[in-house]
Amino acid sequence: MKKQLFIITLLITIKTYSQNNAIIVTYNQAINNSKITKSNKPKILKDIEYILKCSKNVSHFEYIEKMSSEANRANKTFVRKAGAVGVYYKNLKTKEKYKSINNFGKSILITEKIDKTKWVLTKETKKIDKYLCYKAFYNFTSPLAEGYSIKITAWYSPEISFPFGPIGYDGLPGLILELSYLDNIFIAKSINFKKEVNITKPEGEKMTQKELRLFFQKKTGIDIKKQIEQKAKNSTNTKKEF
Amino acid sequence: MKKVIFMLAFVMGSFTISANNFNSSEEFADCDEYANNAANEEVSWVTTLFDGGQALMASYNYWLGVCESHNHGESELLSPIFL
Repeated sequence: MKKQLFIITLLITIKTYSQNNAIIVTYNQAINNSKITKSNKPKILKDIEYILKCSKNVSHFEYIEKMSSEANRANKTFVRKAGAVGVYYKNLKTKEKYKSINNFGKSILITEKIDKTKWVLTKETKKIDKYLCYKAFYNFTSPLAEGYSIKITAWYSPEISFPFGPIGYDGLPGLILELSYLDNIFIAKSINFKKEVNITKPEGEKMTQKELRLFFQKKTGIDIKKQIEQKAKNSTNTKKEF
Repeated sequence: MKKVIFMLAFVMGSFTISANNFNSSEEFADCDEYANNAANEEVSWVTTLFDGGQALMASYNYWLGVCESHNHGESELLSPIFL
């Protein structure tokens, strides 16, 4: 009798999990900057929400605008500061990865390499809600200024087998529940398991990052690469790792 | 007499054209500068280093829109919020 009960329970569990081929994750943004928050602890910006929709092969991440325009105005400052404006789309089957933005009224798909991030996996763990998460990090070196690197840290859970995460960071053996870089943090607030989810591929003119900078320069006369080189040179901050 | 009227019309016409050009170039030159300054204040250079300038471009576009709406009388020009 006990054996039968165990088998029935196991079958129900397998059936339940096999039906969850998609998830919808809500993330909050937090800021870890004592100059802004006047505190040594990170501050969660509860009004700023992002939605990540994933099936087993496709993901779609974007900022969700709130109804109040005044709140939106203030929130969008943080969204822009974090570089999180636009839609992040990835399709593992077609090997496509884009960030969709609107620049001077034009819809642009910034093409990105699908396996760009070379994560370093660690054994460090922490629990986020009921999920056991592992720490991974990645030292990003910018092609815009030599010698500078920015550390991106992710906490992912192998218990949720979707290899996606916020703002286009992915490729880990589980869903990223927390991601941080510079003074920005993205923290999962809720996870909704679904049978399926409807994800639409964004549309627009495809451009590489370099082509986008040239397009922007043509429109504004601003050479971002030159500006960065100058700022790196003039920076009083001798730190080269952020 | 005809010559005088023609001269007057020519001078007035030139003045109007140059005044219009001045206004329109002033309007947009200001907005470019406003957007550039606002974007550079809002987005740190390290973020620009990090994302290849995408945050800076988004910020520039936002503040340009704010300034141009003001120039076209659609809204009051708001002071940028820098955090």
